[in-house]
Amino acid sequence: MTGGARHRGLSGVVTRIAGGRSGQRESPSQADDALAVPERLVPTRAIGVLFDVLRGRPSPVVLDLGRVVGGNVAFLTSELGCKLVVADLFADLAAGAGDAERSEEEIAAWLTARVGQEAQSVDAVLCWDVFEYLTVAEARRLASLVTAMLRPHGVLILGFSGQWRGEPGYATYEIVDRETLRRQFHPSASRQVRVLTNREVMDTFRGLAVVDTFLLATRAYEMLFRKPSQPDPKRGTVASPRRAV
Amino acid sequence: MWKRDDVVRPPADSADVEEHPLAGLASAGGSRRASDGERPVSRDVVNIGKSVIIKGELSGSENLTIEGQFEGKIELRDNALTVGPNGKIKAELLFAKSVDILGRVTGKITAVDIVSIRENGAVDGDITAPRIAIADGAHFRGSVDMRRDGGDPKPREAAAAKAPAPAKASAPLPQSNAPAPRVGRPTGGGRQGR
Repeated sequence: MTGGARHRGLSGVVTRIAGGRSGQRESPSQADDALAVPERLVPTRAIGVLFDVLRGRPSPVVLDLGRVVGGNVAFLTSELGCKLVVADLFADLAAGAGDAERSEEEIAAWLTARVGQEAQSVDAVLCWDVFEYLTVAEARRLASLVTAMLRPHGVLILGFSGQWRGEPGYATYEIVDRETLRRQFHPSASRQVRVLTNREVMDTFRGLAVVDTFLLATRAYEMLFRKPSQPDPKRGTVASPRRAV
Repeated sequence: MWKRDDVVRPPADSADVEEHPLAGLASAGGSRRASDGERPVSRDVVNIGKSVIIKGELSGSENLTIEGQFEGKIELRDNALTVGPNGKIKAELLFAKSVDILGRVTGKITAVDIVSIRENGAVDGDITAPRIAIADGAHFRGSVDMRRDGGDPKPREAAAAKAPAPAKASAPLPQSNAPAPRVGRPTGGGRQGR
């Protein structure tokens, strides 16, 4: 188990600078350009933790909120023996681009239809860049669904760029190995609607405990959440787990 | 002029078969060239054309290609099903030895061997199969489960060993410009476990 995998609780959030595969860091200007590059390798720290969590569970269920990636399907199902559920929210976001903002009822109906898994039925949720494309109301509703569907000690990997993208489209992330993802940008009608901050994300997922936050060399953020096992009366949700990831 | 050699010439060679859009199926069921200048025709492949619309239950012991529309239940336990680029299926249950999707399928898909979703293929539903191949550019929304009948998952080593490294070897692409989908364990990635 790695040091990064150890649970630190909300008060022990650690922000790190994760170097690239070669260990070289990129300058800010390179990072800005990175968002428009069709395909590139990006570092990850959270995937290693995900592997460790999933390998310890029998028949784990993984929910991917983004678009399907063939390599991830093959790997998660054949290597880790997971059942994978793909929600592909980007397809709906692209189809509804330019539409008026959804009402609360429409948001609830849409997200329940797309990611409405049973409560405590999912071991891990993969969520790269999705929340930047959602309004505040949509994000809160989705966060509530994700929190409910995660099993105790289940993990959420949430990635976001932390900056504006120039052109409309979305990115997919293919797992290359424990420390590397292959990011591909796909132009489409779906548009980023806001820039997220750490604080905003933590506030959105109040029911989950932050295990780690990584600031990657690309200036993107990767946050690892875990669902605690017991309710936390102070937070009105659930308490931080007292065991390692 | 008639030549004896023409009569005894063996059936179309593999290169000829590759030209056919259903090359993968044709090679499995046996193919022949009807005459010079004609496309190879497969003996064991049934084709449901673009203009055909079927509702109900369909079962059989031949490979099937659907280019039209189908709504209902399909069972081809020992045979392959191909949903062509124009095919649209709304399946209560789609069960076949292998399923190759170039068109659009909505519903539950179960395969004994493999389910492949090609570049422009689209699936909304749940897939259960020991091997899954999804090409870049394919649309998929639903669940993927390698467990059979909700039982234990297939042993990882066995699944990985069964999956061929290059996808083209087991599932030739009907469209020459379509990228090869990834099958089983992806190539090109030094994935590491703990």
